[in-house]
Amino acid sequence: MTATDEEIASRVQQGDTEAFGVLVSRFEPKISRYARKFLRVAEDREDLVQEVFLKAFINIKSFDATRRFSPWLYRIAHNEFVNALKKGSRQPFQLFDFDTFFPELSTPEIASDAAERAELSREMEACLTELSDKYREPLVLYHFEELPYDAIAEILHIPISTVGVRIKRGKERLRVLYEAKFGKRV
Amino acid sequence: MTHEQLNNIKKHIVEKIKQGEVLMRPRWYFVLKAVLAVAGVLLVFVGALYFLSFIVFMLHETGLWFVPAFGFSGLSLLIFSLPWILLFVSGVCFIALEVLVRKYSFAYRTPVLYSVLALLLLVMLGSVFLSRIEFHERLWGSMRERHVPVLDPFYRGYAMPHAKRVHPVVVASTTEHGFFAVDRDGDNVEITISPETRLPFGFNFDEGDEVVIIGNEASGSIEALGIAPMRRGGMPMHTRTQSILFMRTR
Repeated sequence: MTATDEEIASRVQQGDTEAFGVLVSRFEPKISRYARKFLRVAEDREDLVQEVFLKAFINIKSFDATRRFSPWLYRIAHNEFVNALKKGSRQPFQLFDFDTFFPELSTPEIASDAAERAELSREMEACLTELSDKYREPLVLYHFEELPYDAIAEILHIPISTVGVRIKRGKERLRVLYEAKFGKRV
Repeated sequence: MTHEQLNNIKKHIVEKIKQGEVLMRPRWYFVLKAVLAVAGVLLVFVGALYFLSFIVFMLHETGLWFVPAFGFSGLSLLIFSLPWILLFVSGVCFIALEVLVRKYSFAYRTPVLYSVLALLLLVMLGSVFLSRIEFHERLWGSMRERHVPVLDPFYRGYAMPHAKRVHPVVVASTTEHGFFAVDRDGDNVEITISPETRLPFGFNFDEGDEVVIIGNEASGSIEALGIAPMRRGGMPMHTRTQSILFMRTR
């Protein structure tokens, strides 16, 4: 039987450093795809992905093996990518994200059908880079990484209801961008 | 990224780990970090609690807490005499507390509004508790005895009456046109009541009651524009008046 990510992480914590290679093999394609979709520029992408895994190894003893490994790793990746994005742009200092200020009605997690997925994929491929980071990231995590809302909330450190709202608004904005770009409805 | 590139990443990472270029941080490092973070949260919480409860204390001591009973003029007196620096410091402590607390899942999983309200409630309940146990009164009392530098002048500067037209006094004896009272410095003052004097709670003061007088003082006499009883939590303050007066006049 294949060991779970958490079991392997636990082995690494106990000193079996070789086992970390298994985690790298399992998550490398996912983290690389996340980087490709979330980061606009290609430069340093490979270095950043490598940095994510190195940081995961350095901090592996802070991982609670009773919880899921993937949100923990994605959180490291999120921090690394957000820092990389900040370096490239002059973003104003923000204490709080205003989206998380007030309670919002939660948007239920609904599995989209094949047609909707295909339509959204077309829009995302064409306009994803033009979408702001705030909406792009939850969309990438939900549609490409297929993570549930609670895991996304854990990665982004925002309420679950905000995840739903951002995904919904992100889709709406994508549609507007697509229509403005190609002059037609999908 | 190609398959070859992906393999390269893995090779690089495994190589660095094998050669000892990257090392795992020990568990104690994370334990220490967590302990320091909790200590930081507690420290800032205590700071917010201290300043907020001190503001309530000084407003009570100076009589400003009771002046809104005189309507708009009382309210404007309160606003102009508020300790804005202390309020700013309390606000900074409170924001710092919210920022620190939001690193924990119980906070970031809820909207900011909820965690702010929960913290506000906690700080307010703590302030009420400190007020009930007369924390600042006791602290100031012990500091006066030991002449603690910085803190004693701090308490004296804020908690002694400083608003020109607001006078917290203790009723000493009643007269035909008003009453004699003792102010916070232990000096006797004569209070004159005229038909224009506002008495929002009527005139039913006994000797030993603490009252707040609005009016200008001139050579030991105040022509009262308004008089209101100083009651803390609905209870008259005269139960503790004697000990306070004794403490202050020493």
